[in-house]
Amino acid sequence: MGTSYRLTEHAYDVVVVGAGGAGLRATLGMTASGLSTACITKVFPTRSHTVAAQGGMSAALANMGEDDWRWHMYDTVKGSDWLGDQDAIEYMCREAIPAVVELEHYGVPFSRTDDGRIYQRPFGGMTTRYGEGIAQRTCAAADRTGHAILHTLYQQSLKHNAEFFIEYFAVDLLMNEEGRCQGVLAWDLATGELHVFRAHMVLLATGGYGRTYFSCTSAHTCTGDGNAMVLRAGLPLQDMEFVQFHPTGIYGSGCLITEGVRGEGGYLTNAEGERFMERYAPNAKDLASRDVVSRSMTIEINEGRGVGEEKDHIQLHLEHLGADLINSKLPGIAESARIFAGIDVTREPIPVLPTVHYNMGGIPTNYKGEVVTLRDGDPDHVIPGLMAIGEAACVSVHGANRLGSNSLLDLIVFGRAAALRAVELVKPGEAHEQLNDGAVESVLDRFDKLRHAGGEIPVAELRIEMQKTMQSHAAVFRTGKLIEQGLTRLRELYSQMDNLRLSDRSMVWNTDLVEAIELTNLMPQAIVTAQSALNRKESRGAQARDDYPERDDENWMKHTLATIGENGDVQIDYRPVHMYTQTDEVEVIPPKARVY
Amino acid sequence: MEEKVQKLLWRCRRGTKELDILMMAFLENHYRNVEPELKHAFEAMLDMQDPELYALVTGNRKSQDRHINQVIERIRA
Repeated sequence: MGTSYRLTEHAYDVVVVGAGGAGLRATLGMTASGLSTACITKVFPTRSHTVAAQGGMSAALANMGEDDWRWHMYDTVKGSDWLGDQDAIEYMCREAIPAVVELEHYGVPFSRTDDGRIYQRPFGGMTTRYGEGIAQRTCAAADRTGHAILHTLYQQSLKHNAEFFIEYFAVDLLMNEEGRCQGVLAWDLATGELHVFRAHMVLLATGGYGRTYFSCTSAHTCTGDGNAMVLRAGLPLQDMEFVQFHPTGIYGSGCLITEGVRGEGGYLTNAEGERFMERYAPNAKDLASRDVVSRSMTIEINEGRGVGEEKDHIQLHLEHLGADLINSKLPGIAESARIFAGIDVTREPIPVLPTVHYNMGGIPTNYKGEVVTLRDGDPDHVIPGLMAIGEAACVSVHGANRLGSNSLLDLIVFGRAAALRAVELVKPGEAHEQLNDGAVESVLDRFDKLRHAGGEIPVAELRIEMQKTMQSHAAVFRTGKLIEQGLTRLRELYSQMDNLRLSDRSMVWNTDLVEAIELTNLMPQAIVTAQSALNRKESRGAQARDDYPERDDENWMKHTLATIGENGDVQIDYRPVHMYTQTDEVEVIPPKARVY
Repeated sequence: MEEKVQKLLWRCRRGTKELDILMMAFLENHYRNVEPELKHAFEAMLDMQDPELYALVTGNRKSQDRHINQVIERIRA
């Protein structure tokens, strides 16, 4: 190999990759317990995508009326369409309570009741007494909960001497020949230097991979880098077919129009001006659940009743509500629609499209955050030295479908759990074993090849082809035939990655190269997602197969595990869903139809 | 200059898609052609926290800084 890069070496007890809510909560927990902790992040911590989580964080505090973490568990299991692991869901819902109280002590400015307790509001899918009443369970810091959590955890982590490496791009994991993770190789975007971070434990908190699709609500930075590192290490990702869509992303930009718009009387129409939701959901109509509305919109488009030149979107009407109501009840919507769709909502409808919003799938872990895989018949085999948390992980608490306000909770509870587990496993200051030089070499080799890629296809061109293929073949509406066509196209695109053209060969602020690496991260995730969707011959939660419209517990109540070879071939295996609880404080919730 | 633009391009990566789009559009369409005061104002905006920045660019809050307001006018145009 002809590459010679100077490497700066660092040694820490633990290294966290990613500084969103999960990464920062883990960083704080570990550094405060005396582990030397580095946190590597490609963007400044308070600019992580957790910022976009405005809604809040669920916990059965019972501040606003009766509540019980067991009811929260029931809602989450039902929301997951019985694909969630019940031991992990039990853990999350029980630990939600101390986790929120801790955040409050750290300084998160939660909104309060008149008597000074944390204010809690209702949220879709959150009930009392196992579905009977409406729970007020969601804690929020005004409309900036995500940002408040990031800001607080970052300040606390600095106070406890965590070391941050900001605008460092993690290129790959360093695995030894026995399959232990020994650290990570990262690229300092500002200086162009490469760094090896040795660690006894690497935590991946790298978020979701919304950018595999053309229309997604996630920020540009959501490329699932950690997921891709895990795939390259020959390890599986779990339940990647489960992608949550939000019905009303603005056509073109993907920017989110809140559900509240339909709550206030907004409605959808097709090209014929028909309020088609009346046909699909005669009772709930435009207020039916996210998956139902998204599916109905997609059927309208697929049957040729989409709006616009390409008949590829739907219209959301607010005009009839009048400017006064729009401005008082839906602040910000008029402005969003003006800026991102170029329309005046008092006169015209907003063009919208079902838009990728959240990835339930990711790196399989146990409830302590340790990465697991199926090995020699053991479905819970732990990969030493490696953990994953947050949207990157699949614990699995969201199963086939996530409930609103359970994602911030997931970040905090499992960021905390991973820290607790790392403190059990790692002795502060322990010597590091011999680094696998071969792993370093092969990461550098891949990096160098991409940096000097002299082919014909620009990164942006290949990326948009991939995104459009995923949008048209592996989105809301899925059939075996459609996904197969998509996979054929994705494999062509995958093979074209050898033919990328990069214009910038520098090492400093080479955003072209960053985007190329991100594309090499997105592409295998796209293929694994499509292949997992093709493989699962049932409809459950976010996976709606038109050719297999029913949930099939007998054959499919199991987690998909998907690995990918260098040639792009996907191997599928399975792990059982955990139909047991950790304690006798709660019974397993047996499967039944998911109706609301 | 180009290295600096590349750095700013990275800093246009925000926590939300809305800000990604708006900040990147200014960088790509206007930044190179505006006077130095507006360049500085834009760079100062990139150092702001996302909720604060979003309130400014959507017009929910006015800045005290004339140049920042001029950048916002172009972003919103």
